[in-house]
Amino acid sequence: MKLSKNIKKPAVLLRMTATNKDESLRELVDLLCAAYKLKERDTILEAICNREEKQSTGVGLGLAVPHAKTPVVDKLYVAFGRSVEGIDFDSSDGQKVQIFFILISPRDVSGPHIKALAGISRLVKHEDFRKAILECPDEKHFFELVKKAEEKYL
Amino acid sequence: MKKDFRTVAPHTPMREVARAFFETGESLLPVTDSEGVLVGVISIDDFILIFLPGYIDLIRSVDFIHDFGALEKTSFSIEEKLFVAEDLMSEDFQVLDENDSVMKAAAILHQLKLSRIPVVSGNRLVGMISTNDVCRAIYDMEGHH
Repeated sequence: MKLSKNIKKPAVLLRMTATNKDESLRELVDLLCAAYKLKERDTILEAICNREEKQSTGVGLGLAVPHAKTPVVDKLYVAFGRSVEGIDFDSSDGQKVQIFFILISPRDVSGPHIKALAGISRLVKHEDFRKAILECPDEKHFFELVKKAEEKYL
Repeated sequence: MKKDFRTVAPHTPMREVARAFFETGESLLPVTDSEGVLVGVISIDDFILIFLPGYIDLIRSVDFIHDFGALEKTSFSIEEKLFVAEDLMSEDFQVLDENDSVMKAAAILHQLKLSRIPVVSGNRLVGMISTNDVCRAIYDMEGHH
């Protein structure tokens, strides 16, 4: 899955206002639902929170990828959020999270969900990509650098 | 039917899922909740998607790729922290009831091209049956010991 083709412009938020984990999950779900006109916001939030309870998706290096599968969506949806100050997210390395990708998929298929998470992991493990994301000034640059990173690393 | 089988829980981390695949040599792992209810299955085909680049699905043959370069040396430390069993499992899967016949098991395994299938009593997992188990049972039924 190519992020550059699957994230809509309104699903990119470069200045999150959340200050803790709960707020950040709500802000990201609201972003996702508004960008793709998804109904069932509460069900999606519940699915995301339930998945977080099993194991935090704060994977270290200032990254988190909250995600879940739920029957209330018909396909995979992705959004991106960035917190300038960073948010405590129960990350594996204790570091605050600044880079967030949020994903929601239907329950009955596993392949696209796995591929999307694997694709995001493959990009964010590169320090130059993370640094560029933290420094990018606007949405236009965000999409340009995602495209560039996909050409280089995927 | 095998009554001695390995299961993983929805929150089981990826490394433990991998270990369960490698230690059992099975291609399908059942995922059960704390009460033994079957909530999903993880196939080794889905598991391997974690490691494969997305473009693999877009090319007809990989024969012309002689060197996967940096991909061969990729670390999967982020993936290990990101995936738990629930993320890898499919919730749309075929089961057999414990009272189903051997021939029904054979037919389903053949038609769906599966090598292994969970057996349930109600919604609780009670066993796993493989094409090997089915062949053995059919052969025994015919009295060819």
